[in-house]
Amino acid sequence: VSGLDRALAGLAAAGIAIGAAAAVTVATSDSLQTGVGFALITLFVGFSFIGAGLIAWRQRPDNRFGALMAAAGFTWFLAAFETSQIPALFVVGASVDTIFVVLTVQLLLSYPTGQLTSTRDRIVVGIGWLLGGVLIVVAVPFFDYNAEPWCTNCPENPLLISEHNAVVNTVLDVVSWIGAAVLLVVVGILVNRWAQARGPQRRAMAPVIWAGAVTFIASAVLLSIGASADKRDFEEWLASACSLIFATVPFAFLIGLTKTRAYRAGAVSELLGRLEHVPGPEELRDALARALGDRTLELAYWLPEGERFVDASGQHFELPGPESGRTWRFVERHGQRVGAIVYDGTRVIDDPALIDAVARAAALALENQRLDAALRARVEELSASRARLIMAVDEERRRLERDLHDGAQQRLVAHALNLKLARSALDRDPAEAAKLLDAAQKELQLALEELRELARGIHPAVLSERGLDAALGVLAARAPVPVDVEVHGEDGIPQPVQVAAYFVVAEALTNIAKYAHATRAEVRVARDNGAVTVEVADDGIGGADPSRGSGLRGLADRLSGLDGRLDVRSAPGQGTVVYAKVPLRA
Amino acid sequence: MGTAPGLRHNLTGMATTVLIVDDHAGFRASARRLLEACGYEVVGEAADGESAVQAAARLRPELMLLDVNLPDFDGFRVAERVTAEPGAPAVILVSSRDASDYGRRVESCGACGFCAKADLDPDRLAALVP
Repeated sequence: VSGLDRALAGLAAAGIAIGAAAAVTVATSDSLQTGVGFALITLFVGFSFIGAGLIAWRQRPDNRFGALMAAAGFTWFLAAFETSQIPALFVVGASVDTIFVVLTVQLLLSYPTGQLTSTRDRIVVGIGWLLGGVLIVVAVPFFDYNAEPWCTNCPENPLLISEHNAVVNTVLDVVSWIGAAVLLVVVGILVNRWAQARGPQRRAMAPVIWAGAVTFIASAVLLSIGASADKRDFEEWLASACSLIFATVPFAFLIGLTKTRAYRAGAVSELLGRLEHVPGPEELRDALARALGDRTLELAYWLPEGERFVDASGQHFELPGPESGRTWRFVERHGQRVGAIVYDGTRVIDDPALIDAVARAAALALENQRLDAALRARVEELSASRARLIMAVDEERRRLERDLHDGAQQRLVAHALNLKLARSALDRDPAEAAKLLDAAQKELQLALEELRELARGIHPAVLSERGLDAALGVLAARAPVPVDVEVHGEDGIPQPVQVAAYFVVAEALTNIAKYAHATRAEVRVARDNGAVTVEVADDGIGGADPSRGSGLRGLADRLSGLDGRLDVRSAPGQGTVVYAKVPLRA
Repeated sequence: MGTAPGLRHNLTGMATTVLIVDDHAGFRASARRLLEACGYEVVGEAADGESAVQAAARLRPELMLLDVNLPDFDGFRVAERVTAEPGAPAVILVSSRDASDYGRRVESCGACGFCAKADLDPDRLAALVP
């Protein structure tokens, strides 16, 4: 027997005891409309609330609705003591009379979680406690019950300090009117809440909401006539009717609860049936949507390597933000996350056990489909990077054409013109011709140098002639800062991987020269477990953003074409490390 | 080298005035030397389209050597704007690319001819000017 069970058993015993005392008090009292009939109504209403409250509490310990129902039941029994002839009991009963109404308002507004979710609801309940709790209790020491015509048989008020019945009666009238208005507002909120709910959630809340709404309308009528006229008979009759209607709230709640359980059992067994054969992504989604009663349900598949979600087609999937009204439940299998069920929190019935059961039932199918989704995501990624590669090749060619046009070609044009001038000056002014020929030769030298530089950018000849180590040595020698180069295990690295490694180092050294403000750099190439790793580190200012530069992006695409990857670590003030890893067997 | 005096010297006997438009200073210098050696008077140079249009209006040259690829807008636009004015210079387009790269725009822009930069010489210019 758990601690909770013992506590609940204790509360049940206390409930029976106080209920018995209240029933005896009502049955034997001669102050108001009392007797056995009233005693039975009192017992029925009180036990309904306490019983249903304790049952709900036991089934859903994390839901405060059960505790609130039980509290309402106890308050109801305490209020019955206003029929007692014992002064102390009488004054307790008279004081908590309105607290019972306030508790029921809080109960209904917090249905089904037991918690008030909106500021508006908290304000309404706060007004209720201020009027029905604080104000009424504060008035007790200033009210002589015996002075009122309807309470001539009541016992003495033991808390009476001084009699101000006229003032208190006026206050009570005002409080009654405001109370009636508040109750009508509550009815409006409840009906609106019912109208907003959908599907199984609406069906589950309907009995509670409607029983509550009818009771509050009756209570509002009761408060307004109590405040305006002296129709005791009608008032008593309506109060009894009201109590009886309200006594259905706990049952309605219990019915909702069992409906939920029955619904859950049915939904889960139907879901398991649908998942028996291997479902496709669309079928799985439909089956889960049916089980949770939310047609807008979505499935997200977890990609552990990318640490992100994708949908069934492999497209990136972002979990909804808190203001979207949508919520999600992660699905795990053998302790590993495989995906998430994303649903509309306002449509899906509030039943954590149902959502747990659905998530468990879906885990296997979701895990199987995850591999397909991961594959599609990979295809997406590949075709995107292929498109980028083609674009990069085009861009590279445009750049080459521009470089040729602006560089070597211009120099050769000037060279041709200078030769023409020299030719025309040859006869009349040989010295001028010699000067022109010198200038022409200089232009030609520069053009040749530019062409060599360009050719190196297209493919480094030194790499194919003398290998990676030598090629990186040439890059290092041309860098503006001292560069330490270490190459281990160069033999057997395929040519495409060598070329990729060369361009990683070339791009990294270019960036160091342009942006890093470094004083030195290190280049390390090594073999690691069937892959080649390339690391270029500098001691510069860091803060490089690889997503901004097209150079690194192009390199990442080039590497992904070889199943490799590129990482850039560049915290501000801590230098930059460009790290690439390419498998030898692409 | 054969010559065409009709172009190099205008009807009043003065040297023909030329404006050179090209964004490469090296080409402008070579072209200026070549043209001056052959008796032309280079009255100005411009490195982009906008300053070319302004220089043409200010200097009123008789001939404009106009590069097609300019940094702001291309030589065709410059030719269209310049030749729309009364008393416009004869415009010769030059480029290090081939005329076939540009298609019909060469004929439709108002220029009277096209010359590859490497082929530039006074005889060729004289042949292009009507």
